[in-house]
Amino acid sequence: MKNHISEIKEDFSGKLETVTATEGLQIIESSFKKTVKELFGEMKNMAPDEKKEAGQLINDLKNDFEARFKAIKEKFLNSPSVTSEMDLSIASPEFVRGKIHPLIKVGKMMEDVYKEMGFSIAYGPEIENDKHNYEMLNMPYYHPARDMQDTFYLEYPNVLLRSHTSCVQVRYMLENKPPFMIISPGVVYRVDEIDPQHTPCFYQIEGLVVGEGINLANLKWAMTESAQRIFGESLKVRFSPCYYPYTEPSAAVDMSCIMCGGKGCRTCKGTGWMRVAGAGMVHPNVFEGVGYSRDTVGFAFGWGLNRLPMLYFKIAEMRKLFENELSLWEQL
Amino acid sequence: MFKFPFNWLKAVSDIEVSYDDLLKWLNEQGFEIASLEKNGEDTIIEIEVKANRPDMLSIAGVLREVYISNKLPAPKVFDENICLSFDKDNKLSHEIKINSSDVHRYCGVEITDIDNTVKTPDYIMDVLTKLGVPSINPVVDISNYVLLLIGQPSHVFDTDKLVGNINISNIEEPIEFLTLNGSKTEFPKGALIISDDEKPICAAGMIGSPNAEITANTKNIIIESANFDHIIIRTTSKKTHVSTMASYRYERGVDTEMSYVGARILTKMITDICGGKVNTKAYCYKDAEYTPNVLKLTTERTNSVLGTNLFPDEIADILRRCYFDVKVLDGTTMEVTVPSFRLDIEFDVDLIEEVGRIYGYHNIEPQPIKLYAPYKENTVNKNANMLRNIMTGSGFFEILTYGFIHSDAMKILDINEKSPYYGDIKILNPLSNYFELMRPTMAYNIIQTAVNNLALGKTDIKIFELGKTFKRNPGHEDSYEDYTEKNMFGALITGVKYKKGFGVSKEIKYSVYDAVAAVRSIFGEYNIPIEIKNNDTFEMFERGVGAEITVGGKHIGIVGKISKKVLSAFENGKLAKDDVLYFEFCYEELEESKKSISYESNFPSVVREYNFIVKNGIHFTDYSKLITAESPLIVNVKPIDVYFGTGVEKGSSAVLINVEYNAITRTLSTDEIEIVEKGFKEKLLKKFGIELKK
Repeated sequence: MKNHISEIKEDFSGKLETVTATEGLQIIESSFKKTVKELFGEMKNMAPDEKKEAGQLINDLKNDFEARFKAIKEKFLNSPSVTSEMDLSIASPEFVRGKIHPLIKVGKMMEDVYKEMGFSIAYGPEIENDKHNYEMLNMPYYHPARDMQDTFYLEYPNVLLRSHTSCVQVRYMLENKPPFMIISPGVVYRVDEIDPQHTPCFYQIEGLVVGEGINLANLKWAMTESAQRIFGESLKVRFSPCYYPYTEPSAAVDMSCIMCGGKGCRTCKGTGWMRVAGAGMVHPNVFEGVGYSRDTVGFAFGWGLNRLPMLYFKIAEMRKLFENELSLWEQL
Repeated sequence: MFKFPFNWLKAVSDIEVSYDDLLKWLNEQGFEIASLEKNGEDTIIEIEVKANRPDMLSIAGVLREVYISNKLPAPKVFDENICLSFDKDNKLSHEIKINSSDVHRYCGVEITDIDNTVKTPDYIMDVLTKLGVPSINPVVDISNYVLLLIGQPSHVFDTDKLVGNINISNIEEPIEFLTLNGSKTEFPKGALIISDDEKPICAAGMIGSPNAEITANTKNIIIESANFDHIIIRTTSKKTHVSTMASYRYERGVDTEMSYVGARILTKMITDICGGKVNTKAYCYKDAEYTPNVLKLTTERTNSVLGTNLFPDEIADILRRCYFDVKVLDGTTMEVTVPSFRLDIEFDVDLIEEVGRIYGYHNIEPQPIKLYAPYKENTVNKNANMLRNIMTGSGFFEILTYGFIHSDAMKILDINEKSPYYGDIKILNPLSNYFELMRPTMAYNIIQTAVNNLALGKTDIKIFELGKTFKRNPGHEDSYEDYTEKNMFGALITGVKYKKGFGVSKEIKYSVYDAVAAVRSIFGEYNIPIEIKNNDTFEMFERGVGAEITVGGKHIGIVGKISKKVLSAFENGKLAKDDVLYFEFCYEELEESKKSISYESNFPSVVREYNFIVKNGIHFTDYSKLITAESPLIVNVKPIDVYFGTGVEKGSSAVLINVEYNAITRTLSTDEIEIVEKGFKEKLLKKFGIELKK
């Protein structure tokens, strides 16, 4: 019996040395209890002397291990990381989610803000004609402002790739009567060679609100509000006089620099401001061209939707937006 | 853009000009500082002048803004009080004959016996040098100086080089001649050209010709100070690609009344510097008398456009400050006379902008919009957002590419003219042949993006793009209507689906079934029943691994495995070692149909697996319909796996199918299921030759 008990003791001591978790300890403990029960069972057939000796040995063994189990349990409780069978120090398998393109992501933020304000969304063709892209926007064929919007031409005369989404507004006005509030997000084209800050395609979100009582102060509100909802309330929005053939009065819209908070840095060329949009009250010639009265009032604006995601995600180069390097988008 | 040396502005001003205040004012007024360049003690300031303010393309214009900013009466007018009488009947040594409605003013002053060998005075040289205008000889330099001073272009002819009259007309046939920039230029029909009786001597308002060029030896001259129509100068300049300081100003507009001023200043300066005798009987043509633009403006309209509460007096004061003549007619209406130099002021809104500009846009308080406009849902936008949610939720990355693709894209994609994915709409002025063809399919850019990423070391790629494709519209072959655009969705999958490790013992790659499953999942989300059937007519797919997606029999898209041939035609395309799976469909008309959630039975379902041998070409959609039709107890039939290879006869595949049985009122017994089973097995064999795998 004595030998048998020391064998048992050795066996369970060995098991306890390798145990690392509570679950493992519970298994050992229940197996130990079963063994002790068996040992007591074996005593039935023993002589009284033997019985007494064996009883003592078994009790010692039982007490010894119960103390050990208790100690180990406490140890596990105090160092929970060892009790887990999940090792967080090693990498987990990838859990891949997709990503929305950064430009679209910011575009959707803008869309959502304007939808909340009550704007509807309008789309139009990318292949346009001169009439919708220039002429009806108060830019006849000889207008020098066309130089700023040089675009690509297709095989038929006066057919081109739209240089702004303002032509969507023209089409919308031809088909609808005020009041309305629309935004027209989309791709536009300009003859720009590709370099870090230029691409031949880029995105705009233009807005048009036409209806009684609409004024420049409303325009300031709509643009300031939308920019602040996306970039934070501390953002400042500045309006200064500008010129667009299709708006009068016209305004250039600057945002306080996201990078430096308006103190002046390399991105904002030390001015603290960044040009992000153009806007103004729609020119009476444009209203007249679509069959509205010259007294109609409304405002229009156009955000450069390449600049905003670049600022939002601090992407230094515009062309990166169209290179689609997936490892970059993974950071989103 | 207009560049000027700051010291020049200071020199011509009668008041002190503060550098910092000037920069601040110009920036605030929309004449943004484009560049500042130190030049010794001086600074060259470059301001942005928008197309509507040609009056700011001269030092006189900038000076006027300085005075407005200081709330001062208009600055002195640059002019010379010399004795010159202008008359259309005054005859010069060479008679000026105008035969064009594009000439609004034409002043000609004749000076004889000048000495053009003298040195150009330092104050002129200083300005020209700082602005990078090359010095030619005193007469030419003075002409350039006056242009920069008052914005009036001029031209001077050497009369000794002229034969007969000076004729100004729109040419009836194109002519080519050498111009003073040293190159031969062809001027198109209609261009306004000045000629003598033998030869062209000048492209009016643009550039002169050596035929009447002023040189150091020139003795006798005729000064031209004229006003030409902005449209003819603009169109000729665009067509000839000739742009000069003169054409830049004429095409934006020049004050007609400055022609006389220019003639006087030039005459005075030339005679002061080069001597000579002036014929005081100068020639002058005008097509019409100048009448100032008089506009009515109301306080109400001004405040309603700006969102301000300005009083009539405030509005009148602002306009007077900008040198408009304002008469207040009654309490709220004003009659505003526009000065001749403000060519941009045509309508009352132009005056309102002027009021806003001087009042300060920053002083206009933002006001929330109070307008009810009905909201109109946009299906394309809604679908695009829904697709983005589905795709990003399924691990796809969105990409954005250009709408134009390589001119050889159709060849690269192996698409022929008969294909619905063929396109031949080309850009006339592409940046390069990489951006020449308007894309008829999303495939080219999506494959290119995948390949680019493979080249960057990425191995597993799942991408999608939403964009327009462009095709011809048969029956409209001669106009804008020949083009149609569609909102398309394209996606690509390649690489490893399940990586080895973390319990996965063998990596599993994406197969065409994953692409098909993705398509089904998208349309499942919309609850739109689609059919996907093998179709080998889409050339970019490998034979046998391409399919057409239809809705109610109508073609909507494609799905399949891009052929090795197509892939290898792409630069770096050989890097694609795994199957490249692609699908594309038009999403603009998709409409989600409502779904309902049913839980009619409270009794457990029984699911049984069947391993059928199916001949290739027999569609799951067809035979699963037959199974479903067998009994209302069958509630779901879905494929679990497909296998071909050892143990399966060539031309067939083993398809593992799950059939779910359920009854609303009871738990099904084995006997009931076996009866149903027996029924569809017999029908499958009879109709499709489908049998259980032995």
